[in-house]
Amino acid sequence: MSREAVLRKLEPIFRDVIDPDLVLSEEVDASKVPLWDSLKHIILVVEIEVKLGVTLTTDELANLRNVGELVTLLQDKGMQA
Amino acid sequence: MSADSSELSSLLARYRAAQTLQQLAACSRDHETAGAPVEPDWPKIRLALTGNYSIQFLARGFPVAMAARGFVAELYESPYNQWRAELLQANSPLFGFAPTHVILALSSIELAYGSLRSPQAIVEAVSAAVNAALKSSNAHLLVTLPEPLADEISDNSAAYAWRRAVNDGLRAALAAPRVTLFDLEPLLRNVGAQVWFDERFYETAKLPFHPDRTPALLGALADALAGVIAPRCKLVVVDLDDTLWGGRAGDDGFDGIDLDPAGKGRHFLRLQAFLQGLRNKGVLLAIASKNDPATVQEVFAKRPEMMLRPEDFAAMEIHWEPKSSSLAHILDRLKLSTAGVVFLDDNPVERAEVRGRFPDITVPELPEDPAQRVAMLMRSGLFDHRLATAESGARNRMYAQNEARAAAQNVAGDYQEFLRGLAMVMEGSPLEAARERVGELIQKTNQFNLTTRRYNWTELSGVLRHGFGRCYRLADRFGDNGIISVVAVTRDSETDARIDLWLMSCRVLGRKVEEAILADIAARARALGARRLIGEYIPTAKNALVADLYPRLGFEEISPRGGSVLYALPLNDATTSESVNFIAMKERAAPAKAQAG
Repeated sequence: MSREAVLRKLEPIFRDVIDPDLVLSEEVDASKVPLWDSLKHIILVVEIEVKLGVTLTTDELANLRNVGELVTLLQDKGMQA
Repeated sequence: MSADSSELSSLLARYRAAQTLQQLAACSRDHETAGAPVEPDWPKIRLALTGNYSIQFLARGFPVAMAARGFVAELYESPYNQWRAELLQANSPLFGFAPTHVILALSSIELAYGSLRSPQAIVEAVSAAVNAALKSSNAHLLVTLPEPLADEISDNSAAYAWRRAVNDGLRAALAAPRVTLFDLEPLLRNVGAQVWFDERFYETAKLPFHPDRTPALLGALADALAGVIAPRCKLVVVDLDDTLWGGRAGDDGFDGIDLDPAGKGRHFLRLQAFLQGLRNKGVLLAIASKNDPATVQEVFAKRPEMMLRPEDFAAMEIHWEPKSSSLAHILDRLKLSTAGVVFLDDNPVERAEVRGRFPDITVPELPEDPAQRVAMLMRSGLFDHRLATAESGARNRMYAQNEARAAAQNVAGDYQEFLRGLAMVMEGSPLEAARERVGELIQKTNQFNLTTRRYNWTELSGVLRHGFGRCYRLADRFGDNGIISVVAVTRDSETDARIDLWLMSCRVLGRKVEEAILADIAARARALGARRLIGEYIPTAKNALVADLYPRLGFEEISPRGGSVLYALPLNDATTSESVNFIAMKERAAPAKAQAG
């Protein structure tokens, strides 16, 4: 699955959890999105796991604050279309 | 801004359906932006949440969870793992919030691997914090007992032995009237350990369970809290045939009904045991059955398997009239409104008939299969009933005595004769003499409640600073009615004393008790130098009963203030009351003081 395709899958999840007006790009990270707080981060992880059928490790879910890295990670996990 | 009621009910429906943290968070957010819904009768609580894990996930959800249970909750959330500092220090931010209720949410993980570790150290630390909190505040504490650890996979495990030791120690150390314990184990077992635990979230977010378990835990804690404040169920009216036993006594005979503990009859016994448990916590039971009274009597007399006995029921309606008439008779007899009444019947037609006449009575859709009924009722959250003050247990007995009083009223003929024959003795005392019961009455009384002010102790102390509070216990020849009325009087000016709060149990209506209480208040206000007693009435949906109380007691209406109707009674002469002919008034003896040497 292409990076663009992964991003398109992620966008509705981010909008649901963080901000309905968020435009998701690989450059987005938690420090630039004020609404992306620790509570929302946890919800985000849970929603990504359930909706995209992946499981993240402890380190992965702790360090994921950047969308580009998330896309890479999901690609590595062999996310299916 | 406040949410209108249709918005509110759709929000609460979404909350009830929420299964994930995301769905719960969305409900909390909408609840916050819509403004707190204000229903006039909803009790207000100030809830402080503290603990040793990430409680912000629960904290955000509490206002909407309590709204779903008919309460307005203001919330204070303690910083992470500050429970000891918050509870040990009387001037902590937590007590600065003036909570009416405190939840101490303790997870095993931090206790077992943090600084405390040993069961003894944990029990000492928790009881020190709880005892300090009881001294610093009048709040009620709900303490969660440490939950099973993920390592507890055998009763032979160290984790199991550790938790048993901690919980046994806490149960012994925390037995106090303003403390309620909440054991997560049944919830965790019911949800399932496999989906409860997820170590990743403890390491990254200090959450000892999977984030999506938050709605289930929040719901269980909110049920428990609602059960502490005001139990949602006060009376269960139950059918007999195919509900309390299998089969129909009239058709099958007393010896043909199924109460076989080894067979299907056990499921009926399960319901009886469940109802007996409620009764022991002060919930009233009553029977509404279409039967011949003699048949039912025979079952009670000749089937020793019956767990419930006739004396367990505060009222019985056994005849062929519609069930709704039976309900009406029961409510009338027990002097109860439809609030907090639950009707259990296996027959959908009877359920519909009762619902049609009494939409406010809760009528659960009892499952067809008797085996599923108790679990369904437990899950409804209606019966989470946590506070059993000393008086709640005796309440059923008092109602049984009321039935005897009603019988006496019928034969007495002359009402005055009846009142005299009751040999009533009323004992007045300061509010501190019965804090638990006074608090309970302030939160729960709806009908005979002149101002419906749901004060907590801090607020009440403020009101009483320039006045006095009184509570009254009424006994008669049939027994002790317990504390039946609460009054708070405050000084508005040099000349005026105002009755800021007056509420009374409806069980003692029509017995000149109000007159006797007024005479007592008037004498005390006069002794403080007041020349006028001001009565205040704030109308609500439920207190029409007392709309004319003050005029009836000889007060004159004066100009209204805000939503209140005000009345005045001059205190020039000693106010004499007819009540003195029927009610002997006495003051509660002060506790013995140490003799000066």
